[in-house]
Amino acid sequence: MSLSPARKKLLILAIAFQVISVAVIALAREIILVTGSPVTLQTAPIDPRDLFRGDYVRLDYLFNKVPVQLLSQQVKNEGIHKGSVVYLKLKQAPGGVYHAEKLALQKPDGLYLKGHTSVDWLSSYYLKNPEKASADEYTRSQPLQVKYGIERYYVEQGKGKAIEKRRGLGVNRNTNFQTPMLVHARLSSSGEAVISDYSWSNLGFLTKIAKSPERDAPDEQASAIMQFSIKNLSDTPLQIPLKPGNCSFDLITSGYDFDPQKQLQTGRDECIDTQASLTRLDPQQSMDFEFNLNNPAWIFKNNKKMQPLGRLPWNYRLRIVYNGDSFDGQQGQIISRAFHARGNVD
Amino acid sequence: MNKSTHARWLAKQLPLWVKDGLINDQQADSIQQRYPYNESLLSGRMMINTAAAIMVGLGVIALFAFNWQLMPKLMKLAIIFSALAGVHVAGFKTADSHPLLSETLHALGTMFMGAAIFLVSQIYHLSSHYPNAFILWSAGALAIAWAKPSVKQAFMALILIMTWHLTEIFDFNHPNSEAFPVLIFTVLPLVWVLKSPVLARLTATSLLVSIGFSASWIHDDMTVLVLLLLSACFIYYHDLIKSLSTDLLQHDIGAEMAKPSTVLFIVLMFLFSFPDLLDNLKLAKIESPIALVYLVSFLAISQLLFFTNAIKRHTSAISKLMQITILLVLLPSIVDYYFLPDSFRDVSHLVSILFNILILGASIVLMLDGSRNGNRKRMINGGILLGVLVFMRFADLFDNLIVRGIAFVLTGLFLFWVSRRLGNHSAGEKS
Repeated sequence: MSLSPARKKLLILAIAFQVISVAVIALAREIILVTGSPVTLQTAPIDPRDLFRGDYVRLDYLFNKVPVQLLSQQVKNEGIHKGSVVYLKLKQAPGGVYHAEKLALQKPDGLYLKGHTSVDWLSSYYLKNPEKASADEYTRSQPLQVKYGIERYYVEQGKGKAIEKRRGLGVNRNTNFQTPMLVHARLSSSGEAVISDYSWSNLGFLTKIAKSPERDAPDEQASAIMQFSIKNLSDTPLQIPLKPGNCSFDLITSGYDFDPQKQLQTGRDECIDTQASLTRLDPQQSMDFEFNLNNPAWIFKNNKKMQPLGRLPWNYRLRIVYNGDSFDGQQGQIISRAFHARGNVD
Repeated sequence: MNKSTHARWLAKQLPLWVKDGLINDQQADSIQQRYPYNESLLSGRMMINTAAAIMVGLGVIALFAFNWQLMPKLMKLAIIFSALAGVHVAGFKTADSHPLLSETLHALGTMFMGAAIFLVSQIYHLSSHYPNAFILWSAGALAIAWAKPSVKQAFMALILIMTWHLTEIFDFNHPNSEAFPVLIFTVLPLVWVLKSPVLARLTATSLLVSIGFSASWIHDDMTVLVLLLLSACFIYYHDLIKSLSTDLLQHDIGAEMAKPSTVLFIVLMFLFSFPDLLDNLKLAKIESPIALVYLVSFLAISQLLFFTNAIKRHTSAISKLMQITILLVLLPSIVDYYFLPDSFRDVSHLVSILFNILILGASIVLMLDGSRNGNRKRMINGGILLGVLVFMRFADLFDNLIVRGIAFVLTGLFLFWVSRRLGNHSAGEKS
């Protein structure tokens, strides 16, 4: 049976549709790669496999779980449905990487990422009755989960494991340093990101428990002593400005909502007026820092009651983060794995 | 042998009859027009070719999925886009001279479109909502299915739309109620354009699966009602097409569309014989507007079809049974909620007893009718219905062992009688 001329024309259009519809996707990304603003993002990956696209490294950014204190007032008041479009304003931090500054429903000025929420934030009853939304205390303690379309990095089959190992996954995390992966992406003016490449930080980190609290320990000994180590993985020495008494580091929350400024006692008296001095870290050399979380400085105000960190619920995870000045050669943020103060590292 | 098989046999016989001088060319043409056979239906060779195209396409997807690091990005893109365009152009060029080859090349081209989508996602590290890839891919298949028109492409589109739908539901907990209208407006009309009974059956099954899963995600309690009313639409449509059209192929299409609904209807009848399920069917509790739109639409279409058939006096036994079922299910769910006081609300037990009687009646009618007309299939189906009903009620109805024993003995004796009739019928056929 031969095709009529009209059918032939339709067939040509259909074939053109198949080719052009896919080509447009590629072309749009290519334009972003050429004209977009460059940003570097820091990740913590794991490695599953995609049935159709082969091996990939799953990229898990800190801003995939946006803490409540970074949500706009509108989101906090009304909640937000799963699948909603949100915009994450970015700011550059020491080390050249970009961090989350604020998440809102409207496009902000400057650089921002466009994302989609992965869950309902506030339960369905409160989403339908926003005037009562403040009563949904459980969801209000949770971070907002958002995907930005840059959570996968495809690699040749079999190469994903090597990246995973270098990141410190699948190896003994109490002895192996974790090297942060720095994802280089381009951002379009509409907030769409396309990954162009990745590199490795020149600093490796190790987070472990130096001493766990005894069972039935009194409140003043209920928290662990954490050890955070930094290693110079580059070929050149680094000069890191450090204050005495670990005053160059802060404790921050890991996603879950408790406002560190209001609830976590971070103003350590011994750190007032301390001056930083440059500390040399030679290639392959490491430095250890111990954080005794029983120090009365690390007190948490839970429901306005002073509590030791070790007595907090299990979902209250913390991180140690470097708050000092940036230094020559710094690549990425200096940050620990998430842990619970009772002595449990994620 | 179904009607399309008869038609295929006839299409092969006609040239021989003309050659033998039994009929002339004109008569052969008249017979052919009256009992048309569409060669584009799935033949063995066509099935193998389709399978080959899909295998090659999947192989190419896997080869690209390896993600050759040494191969530059532009080379990967050039290869896949050349392959995609190349096989389609070859398919286009051979459309007149080698239609089967052309179909296969276009099927391969559509598989390459999938490979191209996943390759582009891989190259640019796209991790956005992956079911979107399947809906785009299905749009490509649909474009060619409509342009040619092509059964192969329609099958591919149907599979891809269902993959999109099921991944949305199971991977993203999204009811995806858009899938049903997508199937209705893009694939269902192709059933008549292509005159394919196989596509008709698969499309009807997909529509039932699609709306069933969506309904269960939107409002679990409405699933059964939606499926019942959609099944009614298919079954009543079959009656309508039998009364309206003399085209055997159209009858085949109607029959194939009604088959999945008939099976589902029997399953639903058994489910309705349990009061618990009926207890949950309270129309007034359905808050979702989309659920109500679907329910009202299916109810309106099914009733329009049923009463059109009733006016034409062309209503089959299963349609009548279906209509009784709809009334039995719908009326209590409305009356129960609005009109009865709390203490009288429990009409579900009464309705479930009526369904037990209906199944019992249907099984006996099937066996007696089958026995009277020598229809072995009907007798066996009736026997199976009765057997399943008695086994289901064995556990939950007859607490008294004497009653249970008598029920089983009577059913067993009745089945012996059916078996004897079947034996007599076989002996009659042989002699």
